[in-house]
Formats: sequence, structure tokens, C-alpha cells
Amino acid sequence: MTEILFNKLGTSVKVTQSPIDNDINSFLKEMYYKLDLDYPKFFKMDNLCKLGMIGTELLVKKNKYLFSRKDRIGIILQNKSSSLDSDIKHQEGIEDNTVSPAIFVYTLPNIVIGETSIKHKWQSEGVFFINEELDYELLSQYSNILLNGNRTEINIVGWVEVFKNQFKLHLGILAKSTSTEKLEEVLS
Amino acid sequence: MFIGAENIISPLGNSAKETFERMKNGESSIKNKNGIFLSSFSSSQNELLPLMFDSIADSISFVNQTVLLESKTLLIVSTTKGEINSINLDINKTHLSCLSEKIKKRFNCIDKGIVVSTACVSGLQSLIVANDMINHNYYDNVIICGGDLASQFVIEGFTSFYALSDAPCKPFDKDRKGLNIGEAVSTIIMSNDKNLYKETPLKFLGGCSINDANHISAPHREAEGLIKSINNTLETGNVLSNDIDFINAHGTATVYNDEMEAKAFSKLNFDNIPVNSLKGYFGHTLGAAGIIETAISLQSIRNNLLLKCKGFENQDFDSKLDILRENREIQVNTILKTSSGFGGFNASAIIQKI
Repeated sequence: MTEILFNKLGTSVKVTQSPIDNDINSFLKEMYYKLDLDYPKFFKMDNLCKLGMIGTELLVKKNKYLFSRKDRIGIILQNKSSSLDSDIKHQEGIEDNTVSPAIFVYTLPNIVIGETSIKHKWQSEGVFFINEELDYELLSQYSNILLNGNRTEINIVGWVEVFKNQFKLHLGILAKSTSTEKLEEVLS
Repeated sequence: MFIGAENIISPLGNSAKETFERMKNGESSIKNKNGIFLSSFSSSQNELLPLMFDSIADSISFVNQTVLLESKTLLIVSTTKGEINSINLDINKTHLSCLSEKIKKRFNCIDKGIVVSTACVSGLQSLIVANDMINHNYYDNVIICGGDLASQFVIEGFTSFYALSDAPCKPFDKDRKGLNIGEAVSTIIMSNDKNLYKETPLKFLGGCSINDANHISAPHREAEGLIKSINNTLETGNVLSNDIDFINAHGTATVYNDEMEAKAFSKLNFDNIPVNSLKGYFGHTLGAAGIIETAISLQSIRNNLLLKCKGFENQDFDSKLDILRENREIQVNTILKTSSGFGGFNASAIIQKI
């Protein structure tokens, strides 16, 4: 079973796959119905975008009051494999002469920020970093930069990784009032 | 923050100076290769890393290396697809953070390496992140290196979007038909210390990247994201729109991108400010674009020479934008750089002469 864990305040969510659970598609589909998303575009997205959207939705549902200012939201994400999951599909398309723009557009990791912003109509400030593992220092620094510089009031910060059937998500909310709080604490 | 020590490795040359000189003479590296117009290196270049090594080494030669070693330095690699040519041979090599790790190992002045990957705004956004990091005292210097190759991977992708032009691209022109893919690597060094630079640097006043929350592959019809981005940038940089002397736009030469940008500049009353896009010289260099274009704009300021918007002939829009038809000798103090890309990202930044 895939495990979904919130912190005590509900300001962070962690989705971890159990070693024997290997079906990302059925998990994402199940979550779509569980969360009552009613957003048909979801089914056109690649798995990285779907996972990012599910994670954001889980946080937004628990913290609705925080997301009222749609133009004051930051999205700072990171992962290891960038969009490699979709890259492989596009590469297969090149080899069988079935290249499709509907797949190619997902060969960029920041599309998950775009899809999430469109869904919530957030004119957000966002950035996507790539690293072997979650870099707490970098993500905290950039979150502080946006909050302290008055560029955003609330940031969604964390890790969203998909490669074939392996996936992991760990997102937290950092707000101005909690900007002194360390990302490690929010994500713990 | 100070900005300078720019390098460019492109089909037009191995330094910013050389590339600028050839552009000044109107040269373009966009050629017909087996029916596709693109700007590519003469020998088939399959790897990005060696080019990044050379580009960074050249940039470092323009700064005081003792100062660089003694202060805290971050590396930002800006790329969309990195070593994508290895996808079938060695998939681990395509991991983008391999680039930052290998570069960090090679140059002992680098304390930490990170990767920014936000489509076509990666380059400009990396400069913005660098400026933010120094402003908040997390680092003293940032080396920003952007690069992408004209891989079959991206060419086939853009072809499927009908985004490629079947001739050299024509940014902002009435008859523009799409973009040309280009490959290049470019490096810029930013610092809080003016004395780091051997040649007088310029000042980076700030920037931001705003999502238009509209569509993942089509620009906002009313240019809302770009307008908001530019307004925020002017505000944080404490700059009035009257102060802007020159705009280096994204100008991919696709129908919708250029229309969106023209609309933004028009709505912001930028009508009399000279504008160019540099895509007509070396194509759309993806993750390098924001850096190589900023590097050329730095050269423009240093040489008091704005380059013509190569490929532009006939005005399209109702607006009275001053799109550069010829090179123009003029002293410029303040420039606006913009980039927009897939995912709805719109980045802008202001650079000023000291």
C-alpha cells in the first residue's frame, strides 16, 4: 500500500510507496476519485504532473484559508529525474515515428508547476530545481527569499519524483508567519 | 549585484567578444541541415559537459581567482535537456545533476552546485536566482552556466508542434513562421564584489518569474503573466519604465509568442524603446537562451551598439514598437531582458551600467 502521511498541523504531506506496490497509475487514478477532483484535464497529464497535482490538492484541502491570495503563491519544487519518465516515452515515439506534441510538452519538469497554477488559477512565482536528493538548504533558502522579499505570502515547497513505477512526493507549506520555521521541521 | 565575465561558446565563436563581433557584421549560424534550419556546431557535438567546462574556464579567466577562491561561490547550471543524446546509451548520464556535480569537482572555487530547469526561461531564471542568493547573503558569487544541444529529441518535439520555421527565423516580422533550434553554452558570473572583475562589470537590479496560469504550451493572449512579471521587476529594481533604454526580448519568431510579447510591451507603453530578439543569429538555444542573450546584451552596453533584430523586416502589430532594423550606435544605461516559455513561465530582469 502507498502511504499518505500528514504532519500534525496538516502543513506537509508525504507519499511513500511500499516496496511491493508497483502500480503508479492505479494509485493516481484512485487518488483522483478519492479527492473528488472533477478535472478531466488530469487524464491528459503525465505522471509527474498528476502526482504533483494530487500532492498540492491534499495540502490545499487541509489548509484552504491559506490560499486566498491567488497572486501571492510560490511553488518551489525539486526532483532527481527531471521529466525522464516522459522523455523515455517521447524517445520511443521518435523511434516508432509516432511523435506527439501531447507527450513532448511533458518533457520539461516545470510543467507540473504550470499545471498546478492553471488548476488553481495561481499567478505564482515558481522554480524547479534538480538534485540527487531533497536539498533542504536550497529549498529553504529560496522559500525565504520569496517570503522575505515580499514576493509571495505562502510557498509550496518540496520533492516530487516519478520514474517509471517508482514515485515519491514530499511537500510542505511555508508561510510568512512560519518563515523562521525550518523546512526540515515542516517536512518532519 | 554585479554581473559580468561573460563567455559564449556558439557556432559563431568561442568567446562573447568573438560571437558579438560576428553578429555585429550581420552573420548568422542558422543553416539548412538536411532540410531543417538550425544553428549547430560544425563537428557533431554529442556532449554538453566539455563545452560547459570550457565556457566556465573562460569566464573565470575574467575574474580575480584568489578572490573567487576565498569567498563563497555557488554554481547554477541552466539546462532543459542536458545530455539527452545519451538517453539510449546510458540513462544515468541524462540526470541533469550529473552536470553540476562534475563541474563542481572540476573547479575548486565552487562550494556548491545546483540545477535550474524551467524550460525556455531556465537561463534568465538562473540569473534571477543567482541575484537573489547573493542579495540574501547566502553566497558571495554565483557562476551561472547554461547550455543545451540541438538534439534530435528536441527537433522532433518542436516539429510535432509545427513550431519550426522552414527558413531562417524572422522574429517579430509579419511573415514569421516559427523558430530555429540552436545549440550553445554561455556563462556569466555575478558577485557582491565589484573588484572581482578584471573588466568593469554591470549591475543586475533584480527580476522575477511569474506563471500566467493559462496554458502549458500557449502564451497568454493578453500577455498577463509577462506584464505582471515586468511590473514586479521594475518595482523591486526601483526602476521607472522611462528609464529603460533597450529591451532584449525572447522573440522566438513563433506566431503566438511574438504577438504576446508585442502586446505586453505595447500595453506597458514601451513603444519608443528599441527592441531586438537575437534568435535570428543563433536560433533558440533553450536552456542557454537567457544567458547567451544577456551576455550579448552586456556586450552591447560595453560597446554602445545595439544589434539589429536579424530576420525582422515588416512590422506586424498595431503597436509602434521600435524593433531594430539596423545596428544602432547609442549609449544605453538600463536594459530590460525578458523570456517566456512552456509551463506558462514569464521571466524578466533589469541590468544597468554602473
